[in-house]
Amino acid sequence: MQTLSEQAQAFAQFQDYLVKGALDLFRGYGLPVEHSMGASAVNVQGAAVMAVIGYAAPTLRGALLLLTSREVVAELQPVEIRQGPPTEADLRGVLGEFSNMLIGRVKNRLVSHDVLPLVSTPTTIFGDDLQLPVPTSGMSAWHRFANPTGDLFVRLDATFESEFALPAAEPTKASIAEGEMVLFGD
Amino acid sequence: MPQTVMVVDDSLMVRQQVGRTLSGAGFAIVEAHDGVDALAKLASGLALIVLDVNMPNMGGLEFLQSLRARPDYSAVPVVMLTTEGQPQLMKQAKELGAKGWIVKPFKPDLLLVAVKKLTLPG
Repeated sequence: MQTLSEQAQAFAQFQDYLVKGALDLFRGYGLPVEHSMGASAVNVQGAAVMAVIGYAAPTLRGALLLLTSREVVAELQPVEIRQGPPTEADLRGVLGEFSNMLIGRVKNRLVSHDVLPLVSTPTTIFGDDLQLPVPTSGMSAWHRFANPTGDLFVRLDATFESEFALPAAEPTKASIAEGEMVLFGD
Repeated sequence: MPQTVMVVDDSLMVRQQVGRTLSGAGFAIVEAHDGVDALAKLASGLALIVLDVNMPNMGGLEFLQSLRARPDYSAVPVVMLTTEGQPQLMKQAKELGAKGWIVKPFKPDLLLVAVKKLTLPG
């Protein structure tokens, strides 16, 4: 059985993967961001978009939430597919895909620990003055990624069963890196 | 006549990105938003499929299995394009006849190299 302290250590490792993954991902798409821990209450004034994506393994479950303004999502939209002002479908699609790529990065780091969560497809919410809901159970942390256009808030939730364990990472089990390609021989 | 590539992904953004990359290189594009949609849109003359893994209704590996069971499409080359990087999933895809695996976000020039190599006549 894991102690709360061990669960907290595991959650800290998840957050480390999340923050490194988010910095790499957002900057890779041309959005310069600076990270800090989130405030006690998070909301985005005006037109906002939220994306939520769940994950689960036999002794672990949780979700990743992204919340930001529509202007920030529009900046995340890759330049090559921009055609005039982005539609609601475009903005939902962009933030949903970023939530997918971000949880994918966390998941791909966990593979080397022998933790293999399944990931849901993203759900997006479009509205005004959106607030991140308060988590009802488990561990949770908010992260703020500041950008001149607006802040991008990311929240990671995790609930660990008592049997959960996070073994040390084994490099031989690592995933291939984001952006890389493997062509299979016959 | 341009070669046709089917892009199967539940993400509109990824379909648009891949479509723009490949159409700029002269390929015709057919889009599908999951495995069920892709099966419905199969047509003769398909040169290649770019396929996501995690999708609603029917995921990429299940679609690949269905594709290989159809004699008309069993030889169509497939490149997986996914956030997944697990060696176990890559092994499954290879066993189902996939020709390549790219972890998102993709580099357009790398995708083009793979698509051009796998669509060479003969």
